[in-house]
Amino acid sequence: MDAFFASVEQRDYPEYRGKPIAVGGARKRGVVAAASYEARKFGVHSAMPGKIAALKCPELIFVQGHFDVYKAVSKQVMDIFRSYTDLVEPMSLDEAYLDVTENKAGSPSATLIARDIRKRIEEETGLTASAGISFNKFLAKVASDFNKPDGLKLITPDQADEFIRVLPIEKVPGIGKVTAQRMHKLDIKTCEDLMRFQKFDLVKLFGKTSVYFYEIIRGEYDSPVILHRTRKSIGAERTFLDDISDEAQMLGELERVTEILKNRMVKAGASGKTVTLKYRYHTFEQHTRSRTVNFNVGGSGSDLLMIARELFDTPIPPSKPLRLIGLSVSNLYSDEPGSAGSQLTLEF
Amino acid sequence: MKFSAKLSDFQVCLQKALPAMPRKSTLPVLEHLHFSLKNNALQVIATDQDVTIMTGMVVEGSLDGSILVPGRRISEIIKALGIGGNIEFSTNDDNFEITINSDSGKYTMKGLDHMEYLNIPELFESEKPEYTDPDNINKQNGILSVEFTKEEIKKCAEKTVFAVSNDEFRPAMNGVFFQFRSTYVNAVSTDSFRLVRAVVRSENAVYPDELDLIIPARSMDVLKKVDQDVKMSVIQIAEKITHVRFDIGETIFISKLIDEKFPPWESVIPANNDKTAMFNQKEFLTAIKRVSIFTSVISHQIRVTLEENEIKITGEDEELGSQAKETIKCDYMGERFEIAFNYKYFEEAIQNLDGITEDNLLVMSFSESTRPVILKPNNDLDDLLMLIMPVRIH
Repeated sequence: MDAFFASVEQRDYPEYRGKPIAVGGARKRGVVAAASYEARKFGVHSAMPGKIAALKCPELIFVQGHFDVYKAVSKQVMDIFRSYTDLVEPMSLDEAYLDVTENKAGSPSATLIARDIRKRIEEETGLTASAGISFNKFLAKVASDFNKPDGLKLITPDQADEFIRVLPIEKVPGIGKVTAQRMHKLDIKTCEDLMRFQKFDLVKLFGKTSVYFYEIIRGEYDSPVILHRTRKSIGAERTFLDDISDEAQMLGELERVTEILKNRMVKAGASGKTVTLKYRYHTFEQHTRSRTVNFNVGGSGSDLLMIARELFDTPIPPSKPLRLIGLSVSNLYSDEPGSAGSQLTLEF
Repeated sequence: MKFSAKLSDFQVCLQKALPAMPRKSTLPVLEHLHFSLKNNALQVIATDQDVTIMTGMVVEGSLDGSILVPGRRISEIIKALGIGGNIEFSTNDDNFEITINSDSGKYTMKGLDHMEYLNIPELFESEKPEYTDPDNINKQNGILSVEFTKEEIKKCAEKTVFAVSNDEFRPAMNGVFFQFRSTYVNAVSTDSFRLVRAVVRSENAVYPDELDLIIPARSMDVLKKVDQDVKMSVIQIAEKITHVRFDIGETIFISKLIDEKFPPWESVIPANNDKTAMFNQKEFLTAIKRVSIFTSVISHQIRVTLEENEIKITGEDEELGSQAKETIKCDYMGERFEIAFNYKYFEEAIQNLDGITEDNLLVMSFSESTRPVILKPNNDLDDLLMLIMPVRIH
């Protein structure tokens, strides 16, 4: 979906149409969750602190998000996808991979299906979506970003080589700002530049994940569309309006975050064995402490708070004013088939 | 303080007290035994603050007094002296030196002033409950009290304590849960991978009604070894039950209780385990012992496959290329059914179901390969149940 949250707001509130708007980011320390295309022209983008966004675009309108609406629209869109194929892998509320090799429409052309889907999305939700079509997930994703907004792009096997060679490395999923900067320093600008490196050298320079880059740009990485992306962790965190230096207050906030996480876990039916406490000092210096226990910590009961407090206290409580505190549970208990060999536990 | 005693009796007396003495403590006085002598009665106390034992014996006393005796040292020398003959125990009250004279020689060690020992209010201020009227023993003088035969208390301890959780983050599961319900007592333990319920029943309403206590595993280990009937009572501080007291003959054993809420165990016992298989306990146990040698040291997984009148037990370690398969006879009619377990849980459960019935037959009931399995002795008493959670196969 194109500028999803912002487009939904512009659809529901005509006064925002044609104007630069940002969803979220209005609070003292909030960040922009989504920016309309009008705002993007000014350089406003998601994850940007609201303060900076306002500097870049003085006319920017900060809008409070309506997450219930986004969720409802997301469901509408996903239902449209599922009317074409059951092989839908949602990546977020507004993005998904579809495997239409075999499809319910009986259509031999993925492009025709994409056209159909885009048309239906527009008719049923009044919003625009962009689609990328290709023979693997990486190229489909890159293609979908190519003609945004309201675009459609097909990359055929014949075109793939040429397309990848000139592709700027920033467009490769998984290469973020930091890796891109480091690559630029080595004069790696496009995927063609990247292809000159041996797998071994890439791993030495950029770590294990570069095996993935190495393979996808050669079309060697072909992961299937996964129906249920399994959640790896569940967490909650709070950034404080003002830094906190009082230990009792820190503990109070830790309890609040724990409560939020517990609610989320109960809702998601999640439980896991590893609990991680994260805290960020006012200097932005960030620390994590984690502990793995031999049972599944769930959302009900007092286990989570007990472990959180233990992590907070051991070896000593955070020593400088805190800007953020967060708690997460990973190493999640999976009820999905496929976790063969896992010891089942009694659910008290 | 001075007395002489028969070495074998003295040994027995120390053995009774030692389970309450910590091997290492931040409080050095606790690594001592508290001895006090009055006339011919020697009293010995040990505590680690959670568990306290007070016992005693008859000696030939010649000088009354009290002293703290280094626990490890005295128990080791008394053990090493064998069981024949007598010893003479004496102290120097000026420098707290302790001397033991035996037929083999003379041993001296440094004790501590008995005044340095901790005050143990739950010991010194609790009363031994009286038992006069068996129909009305629940509340006498406000003291809740229960009588257990040695077989009953051993059953509650032996059959359950192995399944107690040692996870410090789940304190409620670090003990055995006692539920007193007028005509019966449930003793339940779980570590969330398995659960055991042992029941002691009476024809009369001799137990308190609706009393729930969690007794720490350490204390249950002590109760496992009792060799006579016990009288149990509870100790309350400000109307709250904090300790449980067992009078075992002349020995008093006091344990702190775990002040937590035990998980709702009844709700996890499946009522719809409709398939059953009956097999010989010993055959199954020895088969598991052999097959488990070939399982992966990480997963400890064995697979149990039921087919008409036979059980296949298989284990393998794919990485090391080892495999084992055994088949034993059983009573089973039904579809082929496959389930996997951590063999340790299965082995321990079956081990603890040993010798309960004469024919040594066990009944296993189950429904699905991801649902709990129940093991019981082949009788109608419904007084012992072991539940095991399987390992997911697919």
